[in-house]
Amino acid sequence: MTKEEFLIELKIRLKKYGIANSDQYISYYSEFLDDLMEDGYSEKEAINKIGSPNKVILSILSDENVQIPQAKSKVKSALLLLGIPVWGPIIVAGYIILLALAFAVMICGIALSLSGIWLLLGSLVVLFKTGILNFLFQLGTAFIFGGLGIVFWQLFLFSFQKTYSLVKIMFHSFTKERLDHEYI
Amino acid sequence: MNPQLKKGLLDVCVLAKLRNSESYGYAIIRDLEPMIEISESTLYPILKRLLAKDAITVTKRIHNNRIRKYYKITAIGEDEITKFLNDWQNVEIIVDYIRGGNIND
Repeated sequence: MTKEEFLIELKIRLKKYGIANSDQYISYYSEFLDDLMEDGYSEKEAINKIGSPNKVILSILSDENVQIPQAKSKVKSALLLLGIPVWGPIIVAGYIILLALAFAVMICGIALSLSGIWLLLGSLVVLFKTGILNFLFQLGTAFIFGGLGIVFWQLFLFSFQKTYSLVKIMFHSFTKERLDHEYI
Repeated sequence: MNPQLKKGLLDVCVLAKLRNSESYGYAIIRDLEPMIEISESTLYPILKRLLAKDAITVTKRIHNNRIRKYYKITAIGEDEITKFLNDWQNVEIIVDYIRGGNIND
């Protein structure tokens, strides 16, 4: 772990616990690491001496003067809970729209690839029936459709993934908030 | 060492270290470490506590192209040391009593 990684880890944890003066802690530990390294410690040794970000966070949390905005987030979750009848249907509707969009893209992907394949097969018939020029034209069209099919298919996978992770983030933030309360 | 006792001693140790000259976080720990257990994470609340009661002041200064915070003792801080030393005379009597020595009653 480098000094930067250590400080980023620390900052993430400070933010997670809602510690207001996180910048002061960051500059304090940054100064310390610099001083240790100036005194002949390697970057790794300096970080080992201070301990893991987890250990540092625990000692910061055990410091009585740290203000944890617990009451505020409690009010926030209570408001969120009370508001379910209002924002619940909106979120569900939004989610259904997103799913419908992903579904439409998927249908487009399937239709375009199928017509691409059909045109490709048809071009062989054209080659024997009408000649090379028409065959080339149809072959080109087949490739265009096939390519569009692939593009739409990728678009579908991407949008589906995004919709899925959006839901995951939503649930995750709920459960995480719960855990924080129990921990503190 | 008993954590309660150590907590009281650490504050005065930091003040005593600053009595001679101003200093910065790492130097404070380096000097006190051989004598009493102190770490980076324990020093921070001590400095914050001392700053809150104006026993020390802090100034930012550039050192090797970075900012370093220097701490300086104030008159209030020096009073704290004197108060501690006065208190300690009473503590010595108590320590004698705990050891089983005689007390004049």
